[in-house]
Amino acid sequence: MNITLSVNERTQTVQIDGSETLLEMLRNHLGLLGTKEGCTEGECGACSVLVDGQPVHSCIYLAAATEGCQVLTIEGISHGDELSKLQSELINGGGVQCGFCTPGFVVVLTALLKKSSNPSASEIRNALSGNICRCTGYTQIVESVLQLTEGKKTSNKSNLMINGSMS
Amino acid sequence: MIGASVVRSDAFVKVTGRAVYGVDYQEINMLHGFLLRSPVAAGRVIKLDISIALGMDGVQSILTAKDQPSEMAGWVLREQRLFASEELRYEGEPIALVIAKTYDEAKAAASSILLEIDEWKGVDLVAASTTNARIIHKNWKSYVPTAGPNADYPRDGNLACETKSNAVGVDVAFGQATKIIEDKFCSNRQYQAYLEPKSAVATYVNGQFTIHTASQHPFNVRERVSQFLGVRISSVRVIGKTIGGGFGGKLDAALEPYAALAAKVTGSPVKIMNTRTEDILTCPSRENALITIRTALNAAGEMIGRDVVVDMDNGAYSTEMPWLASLPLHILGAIYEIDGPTRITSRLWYTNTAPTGAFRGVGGTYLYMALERHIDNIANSIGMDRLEFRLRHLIDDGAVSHVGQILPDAGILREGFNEIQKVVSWEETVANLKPFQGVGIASGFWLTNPMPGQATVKLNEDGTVSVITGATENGSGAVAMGVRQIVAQGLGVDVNDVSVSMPDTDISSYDAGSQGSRTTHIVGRAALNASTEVKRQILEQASNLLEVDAADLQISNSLISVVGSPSISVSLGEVATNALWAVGPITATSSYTTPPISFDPGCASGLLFPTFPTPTYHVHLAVVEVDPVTGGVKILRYVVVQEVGKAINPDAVRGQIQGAVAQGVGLTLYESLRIGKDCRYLERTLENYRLPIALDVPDVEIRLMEHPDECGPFGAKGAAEPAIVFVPAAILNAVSHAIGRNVTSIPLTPECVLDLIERES
Amino acid sequence: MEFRTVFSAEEALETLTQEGIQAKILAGGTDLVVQMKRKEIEPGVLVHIKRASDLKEILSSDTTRIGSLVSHADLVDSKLIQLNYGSLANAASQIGGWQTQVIGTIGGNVANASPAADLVPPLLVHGAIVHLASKRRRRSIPLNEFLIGRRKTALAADELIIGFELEPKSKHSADKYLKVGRRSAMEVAIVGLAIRMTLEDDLETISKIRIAVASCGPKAFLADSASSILTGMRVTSTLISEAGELLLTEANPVDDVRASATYRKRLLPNLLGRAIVGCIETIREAEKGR
Repeated sequence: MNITLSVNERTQTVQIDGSETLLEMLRNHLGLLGTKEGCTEGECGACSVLVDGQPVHSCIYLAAATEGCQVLTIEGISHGDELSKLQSELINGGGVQCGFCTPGFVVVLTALLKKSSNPSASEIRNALSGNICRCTGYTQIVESVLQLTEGKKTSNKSNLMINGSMS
Repeated sequence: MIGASVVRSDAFVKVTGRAVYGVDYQEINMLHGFLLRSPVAAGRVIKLDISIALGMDGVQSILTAKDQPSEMAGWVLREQRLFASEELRYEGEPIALVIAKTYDEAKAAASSILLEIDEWKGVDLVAASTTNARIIHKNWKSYVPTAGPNADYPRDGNLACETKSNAVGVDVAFGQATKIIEDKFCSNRQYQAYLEPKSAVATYVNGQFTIHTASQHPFNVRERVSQFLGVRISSVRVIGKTIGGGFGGKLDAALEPYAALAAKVTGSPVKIMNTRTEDILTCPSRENALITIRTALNAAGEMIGRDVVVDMDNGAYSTEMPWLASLPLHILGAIYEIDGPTRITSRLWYTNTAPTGAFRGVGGTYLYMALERHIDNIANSIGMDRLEFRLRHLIDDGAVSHVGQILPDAGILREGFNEIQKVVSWEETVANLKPFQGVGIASGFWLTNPMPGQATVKLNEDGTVSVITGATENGSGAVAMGVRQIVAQGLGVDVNDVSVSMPDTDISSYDAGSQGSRTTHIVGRAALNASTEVKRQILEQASNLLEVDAADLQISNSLISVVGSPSISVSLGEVATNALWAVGPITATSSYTTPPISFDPGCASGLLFPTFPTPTYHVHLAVVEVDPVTGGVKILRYVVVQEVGKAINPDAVRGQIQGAVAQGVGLTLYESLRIGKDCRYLERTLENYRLPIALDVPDVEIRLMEHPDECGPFGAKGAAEPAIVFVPAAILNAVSHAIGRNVTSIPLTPECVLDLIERES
Repeated sequence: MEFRTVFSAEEALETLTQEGIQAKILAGGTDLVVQMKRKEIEPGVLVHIKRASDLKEILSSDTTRIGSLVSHADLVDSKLIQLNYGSLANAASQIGGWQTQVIGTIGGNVANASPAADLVPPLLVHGAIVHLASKRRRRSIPLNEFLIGRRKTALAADELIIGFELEPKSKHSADKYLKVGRRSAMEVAIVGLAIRMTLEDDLETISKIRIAVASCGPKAFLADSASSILTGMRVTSTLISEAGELLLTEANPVDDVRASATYRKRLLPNLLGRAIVGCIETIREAEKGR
């Protein structure tokens, strides 16, 4: 079947099978490899994209259901060489290590910041329940968001001391 | 540059989704492979009929044991071939490889292969270690160690390796004891659960294999592929891709040898990828283990002897586990002084389960758990405060380890205890705990992997610098930040003008992979040495250009200028270009490996991993709260004090400690990888193999200690691996304190907590 | 497999009647697509119903009607649900993570009939009626009867869940949902317990109570014995213990990959106590606030 949708603000008409997932369509038909497959069962969040502004696990979202929808992937968040403020902050704040989970986190956090301009640390963590990071232990990701919204990290940052003095 | 935050060289591509991971890599006209894997843990193949499958849509070829070279492969012991021929030894063991035009076609054909199996009862760790179980490798005597026949070690039947310390007088000490404290502990497996599943893309042309893979150890993959395929290692080129996490699980070859053989047979590029379930089933997880630890006490409550037996699960094949069997001897006879002998027996057993291997911290996680739980129990048995007991027996500068290694700076441990008290006062905490709250403490040492590495530093014609190395960036930032910072500092250039290569075994010299926190220390050292030589060459050229003595010149902000007269200067670009035509390109190479450390070779048999080089010291503290209704454990506070030598990048060190503790929390409280009665895993997807989410992980409070190492670049020791090692110990000690019971297992499930609470103490 | 989008309940019913048992309703798909990928189900026609706007409303008059396509996120955000059926909003907030909640639906959660379905215990204690429709007829049955067993409901092949109808909130009442899992989210409940309690004017005597438990049997059940021993009584710790004992006789947990039967039985009585005490506190706090 053919479907027509907007992907990163560009209209696309794609020929797909009814049982294909949005993730498969993005990676195999549209060449958008930034959205990752980590588990294929909606557990790890590496495949997160926005459908009409809502975060979904694209590995368990059927492509055919996106007919007429606006899909935003990681590729649509930066423009050329220009990163979004969130992306820059994640880099500066130590929120990127192996980076495999990063597209999913960027997408979900982008949606969060549209919904709430000043989320608390626990609201951020709650919003990230469907995203696993195995490298960072989450703290520096959460702090990057807080640095963006509040201009400061949590007090924990000051807890990194070396030989008795602040780092 | 050193001690500063910098932007990762791979930051842009990672944050925009443009980084090419192993799973993303593609070649034109690429075929896809899918493995038919054993559905049982043990048995014999009666019938394998690929005829129907061969005729299916898109299928190009199907490979089985009939097609494999006769050579045996293995990291420590050459005991393995690509496909199971008759005997099946673990669930997931490859039986056949289907190669087809698409992944779906390969998968469909694989399920059409007719497979008949005579299933046997699997041998698990208890059966292997305590009964006369069926020998899993009947030909074990014929296996040759990879390092050669002279490098053999104690092994026998299902005993894959035995490492044992020769301690005299232990039984006498126990005979004289007033009290004996005995503890039994157990630990389940932990799956590395990197977000990116394993993959490999291989091509073959005229005897040369090229493999693209997200491996932590490309040179190891090269060796393994060459072993499996019976070719010279120089016939195999491994090109590293961005890695989506490894944590030790991507140190050995996995899909690469299969992709390589498939590429040769079909003449096309071939890609193979694991599904998440395949990855869980076959990844070399952290091994499960059983520990019995006994300490003899005299009438005064002093420790006068210790006897430990550790049984570790090797799985069906050995990977690097025979080395890791040495770990108990390093850890369980260390940290707290005993006034008497210690005997440690470490036994590694073959079982009908997936081969085990390295996961950050390896066996240290359950070994320190056993040691620290045992110490708590001893302290409690003599009515002494647990911190006070530790401080009384803590090793000091010049301590000699169980294997005869001298630890000249072990006094840093005591400093660590002082540091942690500044963050959390032990006495105050203990006094103010509410019901079902507890505090636990754990300490110890860890190593920096000493194995070799190399770096080439070259000056480009525009004055920027490139570093070529076989080192692997596994996400920690050791390459994407650390090595660049070291070179930038060494040369006096901006770190943003320093680039670093991806590993390619044809281009760079040997690197021992991203493991054991070695990259900053070893590759950083090599890069610093190379930078020093490059700097010498630069100053020599500049001195010719400026007609000034090289000793009077300095490099800063990419300009070489006269000390005291900054206006007399020349740019690095100018120097580079001039040098090019005068003497040739400015470049230097350096190799480094930690010099061997002396120990007592007579202290033990089978000690394949002899010392803990460049040791670091650690103290961890956890405050927990137990829910008496559900048995759930909440971590209220977690504090880490860690010796790092020098923090090249404090933000990155912090990220490693936070990440390591998160993995430790997962290991201790959430992740179960259980082996069922049929020797198959009970947890098989990420729904059941629970990784901690953001709400589950506490913010770790961190204090770093810096006692510069004389060999490390700017004093740096290894920092990234160790923080996970002490987490189960600290948390289990805290929970035991909270509920007044003896917690003895990893993971600690809520069910176990309720069970313990209900029992008599 | 054919994918067919419909835009109203009527259209959906048309399709279901035409295609028979090979048709499956696709709402959010968070359960369905996972099952399809595991090859547990292989439908011939997927009826994509998410665009049917007539099934997305929450209406309150005397009772409250929730359309079957109301998402978990909608339940969490609805002031009406928060105020009157707090346990339902709470349960919805504990299903998966954000990605699951924005597209998963109340109809899907119930129709999937997992023994651990989070919305079921709160729906049961609020006396939920399931409204069903087909081209043949409309019917309404109590949720308790609609759920038959593990992944089994009374839904006929040509039927669609239109919505759910809940009893109105009473004076001096509160409801709670307690979920036991390992992690803080993304969990299939090891035990799910909901209660709805109404106190007499004395704020001591239980005039009415319903208790529902999930994950302790092939389907969630209403604990009638435990409820009746509490009804009309003043709450004491002895009474709670007795109710806990009775609850154990009604529960039928098994060992599964998430937890053992022993663990579930061990925690049930104390969990009930926690829920009862919590409800009483909430009711009394609300009174004080007046």
